Amino acid sequence: MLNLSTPQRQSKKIIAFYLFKSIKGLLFYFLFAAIGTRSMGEEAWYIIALISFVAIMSLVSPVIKYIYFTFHLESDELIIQKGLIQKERKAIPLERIQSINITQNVVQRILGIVSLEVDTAGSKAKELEIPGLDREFASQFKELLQERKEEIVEVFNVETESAIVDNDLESNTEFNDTTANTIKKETTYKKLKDQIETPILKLGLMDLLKVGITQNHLKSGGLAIGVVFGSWYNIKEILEEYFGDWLEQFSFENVISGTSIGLAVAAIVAFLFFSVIISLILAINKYWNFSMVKKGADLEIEMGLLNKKEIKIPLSKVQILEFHSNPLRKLLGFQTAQIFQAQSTNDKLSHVSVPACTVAHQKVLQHLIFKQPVEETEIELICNPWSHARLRFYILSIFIIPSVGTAIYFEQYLAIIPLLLFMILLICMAFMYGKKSKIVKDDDFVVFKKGWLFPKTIISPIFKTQAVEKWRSVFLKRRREAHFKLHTAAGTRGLRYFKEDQLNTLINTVNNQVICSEQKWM
Amino acid sequence: MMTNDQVLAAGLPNIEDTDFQKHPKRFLNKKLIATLLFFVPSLAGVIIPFFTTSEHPWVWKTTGGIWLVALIVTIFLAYKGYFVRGYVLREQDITYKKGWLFHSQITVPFNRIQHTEINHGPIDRMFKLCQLDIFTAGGSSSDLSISGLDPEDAAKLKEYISGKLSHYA
Repeated sequence: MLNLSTPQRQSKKIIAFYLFKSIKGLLFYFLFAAIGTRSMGEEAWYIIALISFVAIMSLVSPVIKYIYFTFHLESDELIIQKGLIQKERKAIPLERIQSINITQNVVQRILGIVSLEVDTAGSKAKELEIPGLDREFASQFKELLQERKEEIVEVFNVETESAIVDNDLESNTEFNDTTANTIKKETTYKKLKDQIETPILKLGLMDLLKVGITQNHLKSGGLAIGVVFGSWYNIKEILEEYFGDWLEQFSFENVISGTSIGLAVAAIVAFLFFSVIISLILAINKYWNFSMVKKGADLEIEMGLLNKKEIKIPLSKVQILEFHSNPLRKLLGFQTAQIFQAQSTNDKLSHVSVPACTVAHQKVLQHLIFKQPVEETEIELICNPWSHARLRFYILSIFIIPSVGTAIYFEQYLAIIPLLLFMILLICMAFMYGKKSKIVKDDDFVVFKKGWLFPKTIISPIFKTQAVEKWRSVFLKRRREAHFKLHTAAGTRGLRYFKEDQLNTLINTVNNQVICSEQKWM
Repeated sequence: MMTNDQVLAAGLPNIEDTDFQKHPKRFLNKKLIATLLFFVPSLAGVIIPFFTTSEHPWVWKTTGGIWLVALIVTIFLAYKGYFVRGYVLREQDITYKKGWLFHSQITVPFNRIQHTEINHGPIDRMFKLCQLDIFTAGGSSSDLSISGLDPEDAAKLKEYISGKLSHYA
């Protein structure tokens, strides 16, 4: 058993980790300085002195960071202290801990250490991270925190329950004892139940390949281009300094003049090819060795090749379950599930993706998280597709009409045809989006079905709703249409263009059901 | 005599059937004055070109035109917005609606409210107004902030809601 009553330091390997971090941060700075000093004469000395000072500081600071970073447990609180000059002390009451995750990035992997992240939902305090622990130590630490937390919560429950019993039956102490016993029995039973592990989903290499192929390739292609361009501007100056002459021949004009339509097609094909490859690599890296296990009242997910992640999701914390599909996934018969938890901070969306969910897996997940399936429909609200198409028409007009105008001005009448075709295509897509989107409500859930080519199913239990909203612009008032928004602790979901009177019924029933529900949303 | 009737969601009344409470008339004045106060400093963007670029009179004419149009639109929206703004406090929830150009109506049940706050800025104090902020776990998107309340009303509202909150805690 771990003894954490006195302040503990992290593993010594963390010094190397901190060192790597500061070197990484300073690398471009050094390069820049190295080039900069060449062009300077007398003043270069000061710069060199400054740089060496910064370099020494960056070597010393990891050691200081290591020495002054301590953590320990003290009277049911986890306490983390850090900093030499600016001292910081964080105390987290154990019962407020929502989830404890272990993560590991490449550098940590090489060093053989892991990060322990403690998430405290509900409070606005930023979540805590202990970045350098030995794996063994971290998992023991995690178990210990979990156990201590449960003990505290149980003691609290038993106290309140026996307090109630005390009030009711002051004379009958015997009864009191028996109830205490049954409570104890229940807790041991619960502990036993917590130990049971049920595997839910495991992905092999074939599944990963399927997942990789069905990713959004445009997104990964765009991502790759973004990375290349982003780093290009960073390294361009350095490259020009040394390879200036050689790079001259690749100037923009040369490239453009050398291009023909054949080359353009080749470029597009190459782009698509590399996009698919990149999606594959990203998917394999992200979901390598993916496994999902139910352990007690938590879902435990493990994944990752370079950056290994172990995520623990308390089932009661899950607010929304989404299923995303696209034409390729539909062909292969699976969807990607996304599990949304209540957020601790407003800016960060914490969701976990579960790729390659077949219909059976979807049912299991749904049952696991929300205890029951979506039953027969009580209320069904259908979007007005014409309104979606009209909005798309208005937005596109802003761009298309001036383009058509310029085309006419330059007497390029042929250019109008693709513009109009493009517009019609996009409007049709908006129409289909509206036609395929609807809200279905059964007695326990609100289900959003959104989209046509990339359909999404969003399932939100009614008792987890925080607020319901109806909104519209002034132009919709005459049409008697309005939009719907459902606010939950895991963000807002909504759909647009419903008949106002139908929407009113939905809002009233949802709201009234929330009022009547006794269940806690978390 | 104690009653404990079963409450069914279907039997509860609709939001549309209740009357929305209007804000005090001085809230409209405050809105208009605040708009003016915001626009007066930006008038500098018109006056400076008027003196500096006297050979190009179109510069100050366009900026002046934009300024005037923006002012009129904002005042119009503030004026229109006042008449559609309102709140309903019911036994179990609070509903707030606002906005003319983009109208929204949001309902928060008391058993989902985290805490409430009363805030007032300098202009609010001049007009004896204050703002009641109601926080939920849904983040900033579902937090209600009912501005332009009479301080007495706001205090009563806050007390009423806190009373309900302690019931659920």
